[in-house]
Amino acid sequence: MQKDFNKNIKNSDLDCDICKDMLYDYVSDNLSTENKTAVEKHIGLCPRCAEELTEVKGLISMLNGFEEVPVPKDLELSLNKALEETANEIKIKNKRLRFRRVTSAIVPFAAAAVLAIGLYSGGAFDKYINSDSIFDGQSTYTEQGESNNADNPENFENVDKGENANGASDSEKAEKVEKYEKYENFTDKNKKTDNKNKGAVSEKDDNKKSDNVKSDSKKSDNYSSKSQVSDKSNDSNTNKSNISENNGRDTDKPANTGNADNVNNTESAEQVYGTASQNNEEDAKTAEGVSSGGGSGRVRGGVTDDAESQPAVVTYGLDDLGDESTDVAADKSDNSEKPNNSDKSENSKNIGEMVPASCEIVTSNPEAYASLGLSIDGGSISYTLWESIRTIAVSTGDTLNAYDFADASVNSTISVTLIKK
Amino acid sequence: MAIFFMNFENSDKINNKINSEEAKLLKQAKSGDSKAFSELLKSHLPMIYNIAYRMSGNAEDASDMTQEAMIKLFKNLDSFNFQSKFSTWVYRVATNACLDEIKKQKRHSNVLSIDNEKETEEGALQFEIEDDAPTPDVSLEKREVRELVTAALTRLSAEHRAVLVLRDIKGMSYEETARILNCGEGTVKSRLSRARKKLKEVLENEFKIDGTYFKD
Repeated sequence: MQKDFNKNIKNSDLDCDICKDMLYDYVSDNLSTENKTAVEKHIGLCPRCAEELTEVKGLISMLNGFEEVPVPKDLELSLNKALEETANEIKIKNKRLRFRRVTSAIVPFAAAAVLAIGLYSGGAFDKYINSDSIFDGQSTYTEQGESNNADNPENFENVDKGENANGASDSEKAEKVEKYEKYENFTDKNKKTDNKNKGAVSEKDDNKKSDNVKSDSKKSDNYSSKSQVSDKSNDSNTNKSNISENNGRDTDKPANTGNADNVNNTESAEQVYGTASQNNEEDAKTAEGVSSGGGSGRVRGGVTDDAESQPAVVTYGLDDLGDESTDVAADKSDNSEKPNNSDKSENSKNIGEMVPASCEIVTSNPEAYASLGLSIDGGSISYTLWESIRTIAVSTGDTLNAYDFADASVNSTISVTLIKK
Repeated sequence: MAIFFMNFENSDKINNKINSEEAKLLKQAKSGDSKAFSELLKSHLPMIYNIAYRMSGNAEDASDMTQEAMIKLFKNLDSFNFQSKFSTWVYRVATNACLDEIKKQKRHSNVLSIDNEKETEEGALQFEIEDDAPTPDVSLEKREVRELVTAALTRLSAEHRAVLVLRDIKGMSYEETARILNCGEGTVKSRLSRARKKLKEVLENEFKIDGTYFKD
């Protein structure tokens, strides 16, 4: 530790011990001018310190006089060998670096090209362009995969209407018509099991095409982009003209084919169709089709939204889940023309993929959420959206808003209210 | 135009820090040419070895340190950014390699204090080290004194060794020493002062070399 010599400077009379310490700083040129003067003055008066200074200088002089040691010959030989080995490592490293530079330059372009191709082909683009509404976007995404399927009943309806089979051969047409008839039988069977909405379903069946014509064209504004994108992705174009013609209420449905009675899943017999409020024709939307999972939930769907610029909020009541059979019902708020459907099915689609984020869930049994693809675990609710599982911490009575369910950027008025009965 | 000035400035900068022959060799060495590297470091190898030798105190360790330093230099040629003289950069890397090696050796060596007893099954052992230090009445030749000073240097800390070797033994300026040790000149001076004092104490107390041996 360096001593503080400042107090000695004032006296200019240095103690010999302090002076000896300072001598090393003196020879190292590490003293201030005042200290240097003080040391020199003391040395002039003190022979012992002067001798010490001579010794220190002698030691430094000896160090300065150390001769250079020659590099051993064997070191040079071993060094050459070691350097050659190192050279190989460096060459490999340089090659890797060059490769990395090249790939880092190419990869962004390649990725951009792949992305562009992907977007152009419509697959990924469809998913996100329809994200104006979480509910509709999700449904559209689900439906698109099915609409591309030749076995999709939605396509059969289009064939039945004879509007979209222009590009198909007669045999193909006949085959599709045959399949559609099977589908019609299937849907009829389902409809028969619906005691609550039987009338609505039959009315819809009878007036399938006329419903489309009657549908409010204004309501299609919010969903026109969805329909267009679906057109792109549909290679067979079986839905194209149908969608373009069905700009009404029914096109708002998740089936995305312009018909209110489209079944989302051929295996799913549990469909809930919400009803659009006629009080607000522009914004009223049908409730999304909901397939209950596990066959143990009772869900009611209904459109209650009346805001002009906001999508409808669907309310789902979740009753006791004691019975094995699922009774899924959609409540109509105002429009009795809207089809409501309920059914049972053991082969129903996982509702987690279909349950809308825009819903109000009323339940006395938290396990009901699990049956809906939602699960409550330690005060949190998990649901599936965009094929990813999300979790929100909730407690009974909480109201969850749209931003709780998805990104805040998503424009929606979706809300879920958890009410314990 | 801007590029032209930039290149001109850069080449000027290179010329100040490295000559054209060194620049050519440097480029080749960076690509993994070991001969070019050997040629580039040919003039600096003796200095590197001597720094290593004075810091380690023996030829064997000095060779190991030198080899380690040369490999580090070869691998890290890309890190030379012409901010200092090439020689300064070389000695900095070499000195750091030596410091690392000394610290590594210290960690791995079981240093026993002569003041401590070691308990064994057969009882306590007390270390007795043969005192080969010269008695004051024995006249030592300067060469022998230098050897003892070299040995005494190894008793110092790595940092003290480094500053004594660079400044007092290799005769580098305070400025260059500071650059090599990557510290300020003031730090070099104060560290040098403490190192000199410590060396003298070690020589007097452990090697029984009083100051009279240093007088001319």
